[in-house]
Amino acid sequence: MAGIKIKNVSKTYQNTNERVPKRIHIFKKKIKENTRNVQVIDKINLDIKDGSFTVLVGPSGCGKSTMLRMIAGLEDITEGEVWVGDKLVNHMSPGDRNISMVFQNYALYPTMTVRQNIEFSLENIKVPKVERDRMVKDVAETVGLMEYLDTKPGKLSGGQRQRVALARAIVKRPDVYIFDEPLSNLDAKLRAEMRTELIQMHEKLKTTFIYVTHDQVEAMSMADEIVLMNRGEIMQIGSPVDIYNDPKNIFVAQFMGTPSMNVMPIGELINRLEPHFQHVSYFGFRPEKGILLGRSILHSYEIEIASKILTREILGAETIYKIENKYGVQNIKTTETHYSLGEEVNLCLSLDSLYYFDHDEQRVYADKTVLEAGIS
Amino acid sequence: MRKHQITPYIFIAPAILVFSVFYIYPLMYMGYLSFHSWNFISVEKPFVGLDNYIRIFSDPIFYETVWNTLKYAFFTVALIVIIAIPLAIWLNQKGRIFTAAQGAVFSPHIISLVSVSMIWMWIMDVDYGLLNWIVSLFGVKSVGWLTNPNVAMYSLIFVSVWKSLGYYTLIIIAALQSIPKDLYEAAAIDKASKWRVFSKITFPMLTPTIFFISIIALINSIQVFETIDIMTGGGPINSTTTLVYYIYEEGFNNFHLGTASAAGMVLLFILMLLTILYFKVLSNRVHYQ
Amino acid sequence: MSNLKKILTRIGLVAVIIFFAFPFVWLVSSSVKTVAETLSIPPTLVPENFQWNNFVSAWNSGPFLQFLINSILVTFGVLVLQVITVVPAAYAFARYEFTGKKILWAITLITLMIPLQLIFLPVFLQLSSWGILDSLWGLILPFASGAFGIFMLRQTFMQVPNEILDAARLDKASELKIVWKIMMPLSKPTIITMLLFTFISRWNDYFWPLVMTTTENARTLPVGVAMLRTSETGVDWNIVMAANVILVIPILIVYFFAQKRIIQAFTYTGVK
Repeated sequence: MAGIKIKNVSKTYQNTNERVPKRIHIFKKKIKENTRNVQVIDKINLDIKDGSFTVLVGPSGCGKSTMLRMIAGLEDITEGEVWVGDKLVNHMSPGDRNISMVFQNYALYPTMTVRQNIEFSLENIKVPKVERDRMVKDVAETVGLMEYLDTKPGKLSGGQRQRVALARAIVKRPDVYIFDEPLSNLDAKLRAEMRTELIQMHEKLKTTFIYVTHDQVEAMSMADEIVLMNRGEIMQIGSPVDIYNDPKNIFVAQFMGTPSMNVMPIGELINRLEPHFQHVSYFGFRPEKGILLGRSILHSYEIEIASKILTREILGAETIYKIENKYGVQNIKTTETHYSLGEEVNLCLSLDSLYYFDHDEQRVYADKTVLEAGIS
Repeated sequence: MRKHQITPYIFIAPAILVFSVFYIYPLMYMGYLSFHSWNFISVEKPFVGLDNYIRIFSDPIFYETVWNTLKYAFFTVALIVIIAIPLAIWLNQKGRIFTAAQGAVFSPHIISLVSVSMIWMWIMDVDYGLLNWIVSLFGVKSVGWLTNPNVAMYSLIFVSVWKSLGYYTLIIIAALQSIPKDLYEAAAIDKASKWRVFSKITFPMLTPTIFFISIIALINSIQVFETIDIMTGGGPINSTTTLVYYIYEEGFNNFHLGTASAAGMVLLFILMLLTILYFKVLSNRVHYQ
Repeated sequence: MSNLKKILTRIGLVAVIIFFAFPFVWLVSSSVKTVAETLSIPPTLVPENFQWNNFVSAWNSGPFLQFLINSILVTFGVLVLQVITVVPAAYAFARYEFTGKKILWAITLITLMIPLQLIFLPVFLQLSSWGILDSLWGLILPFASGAFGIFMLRQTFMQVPNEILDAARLDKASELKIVWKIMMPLSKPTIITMLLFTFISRWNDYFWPLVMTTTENARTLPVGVAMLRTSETGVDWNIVMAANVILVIPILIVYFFAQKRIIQAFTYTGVK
């Protein structure tokens, strides 16, 4: 078991030598003019605690997979250091790092049986046959693959293949498990099941899990700690609750939660802030914090904005309305289903549900200093 | 991965060694020899400038040879392309007899050219050959299929088309089978006639394959040697001498290594020219998916 | 109308089959005739007396055992060497980025375009200067690698998902192990195609052994069979055909049983 320390790590693709993976977003500001190098990871520092379940999340092309592959040794590290436990692994080949990886497309060896797939790594480190058989049997029992040991992956269902991939990872008894969007090829129901299983697996193994996904729901439901990345930089690190409730910038605020946070130019609301918060440019609120009430009903919320219903999406337990008002268009999540299209309503908000951001889209903590007076 | 940097070189080295020693270097050496005079035995290889080239280009037999080569290549490729396309469309059907016909058409391709040549040599024998007996049934006097200078070349072209037609036909069949079925379904809905289906769908979709087979057939037929060596020996009166055969004769029977090399360079030039020409002319008419 | 069309189609197909298969029937028929019967007019299709002895005479008309052994050694020697040289090279071209890759790939492509019929003369001189003219090495070494095979196999290797290689590297598999244990089994159809191509072209080849041998020591079956056409006593077509039967029939029998596979292998390259 081991934690992982990432110190000042950068990754630059040199166009002449290595090809930039297609999915990686090329951001022009980082292409130096005279070279043709593309920097996809920019001086990242990260401390992944031993035994934690850390989820790297971010939009596609944010560099999270590159991070992961650098930890695994599948990608060279241009700059900085990666430590697994107390070993500097920069120059270690992937096979020597004692890391297991579960891939998006399972990456099972198609020409080998399930058994051969699982024991391939054990053969490579010359584990004796008897020992190997026992280990394969143990792990196959754990993941429920006993009856498929002599089947080839092509004959298995998606869920079963995923189990083979897990078995192959577990059998190595690695210090660190790495998951690269392992559930994205499964259907919704199976994905939910596997999510639970992975959480249980982590509880049982108590080994470090690093998990990459672009799906914020997965991140929220599984992680001890979320590392939210964008454009090769870390946006925020924290527990799911922290990240959701206390986003440090607009990107984080909008990335987490569906529908995402409504963020609008501050407009005349600026008048409600103390003078020294004049640099606030945006305000935002979560869709579930907005309350819709009929025009005619009397009420006393701190903020009431005259709005019109644009669309309605009934999801069952809740309904999402798209509404329009002088601040723009917002999504509201509520249990009310009776508003119809075009209906005039009031959007009601309490002040403590508002978030403020400055011109650079960074969070401004202006919550407690809003002038109580002047509320109308 | 930087640490594996030596691995690719080790992996590639044996292949590149073979290519350099047996292809690249000989090609350069041939260029060198074409400017020198040598007869295998002498120690000296005096530099003679363009003499070898001048000599072959003032040799009427050489012109005949080049002409023969081009004639052979042209007719072979043309016949193959003209016959193989309709044959492939016809044979591309389900059923045992169609499978059998495909198998039969292809079978000469895997047989040694030696045997193919000798079987046809026997069938085309002037006095006792089957072919002359058959034409005699129609009242035609016996034909010197391989001994008449006006006929021999066409007999050779026939044999090489017979041998390789099946290969090209089956490649076209494979290409036909890879054309998406929904194109034909869409055409059927649009009430397209058979001819329009062929000219607007099948043929355009086949163009890359036709391009491929014609270039392969061309390069193959320019190198023809075996049928000639076995069936006619370049005769009668040089009517079937092609370039490779000429090089072989010059080099191995006359020991004129310089002129043989010069002829080789001419062959190389023709091959390159035709390849470039083909790409230029055809590539902008070829429909790629 | 459609019945007539059906019958015409049948007749057409039978005609096509006869056109391509009959020469082989004639080959076999001639091979078991007496000399006199080969010369009879009108010709007979089924001989009166089957002259099985013709095969013995053909076999004994030259050192055919030697030719056969040479053919086998050359063909299998080339096959083994090709696997050893082609597979790793194709893997390196498909899966590595390294300095000089472009030049090395260009050399491979140029080789693909150069027919041996063009450069046999300088190769001949080279082999003779090494003293391996008229030996099996001269028939094997120039074919010890194949640009075509590398080209095809590289295409196949490039289609193997990266993730599988990553997984193998994390499983501590050496590069050579990745090639033999993962890439090779995944590319079986291409490798079979390559081997079949090589087998047929080497087994049937006449040009190269003719040019590179000067005595019977290293000659192969096709050269031996072809020599029969120029005997001093005039050509005995029944014996010549018997020798060709020996050369042709084994391949035709294999073809008869594995026709589908063989055709697939050969046409596989025509359509990408």
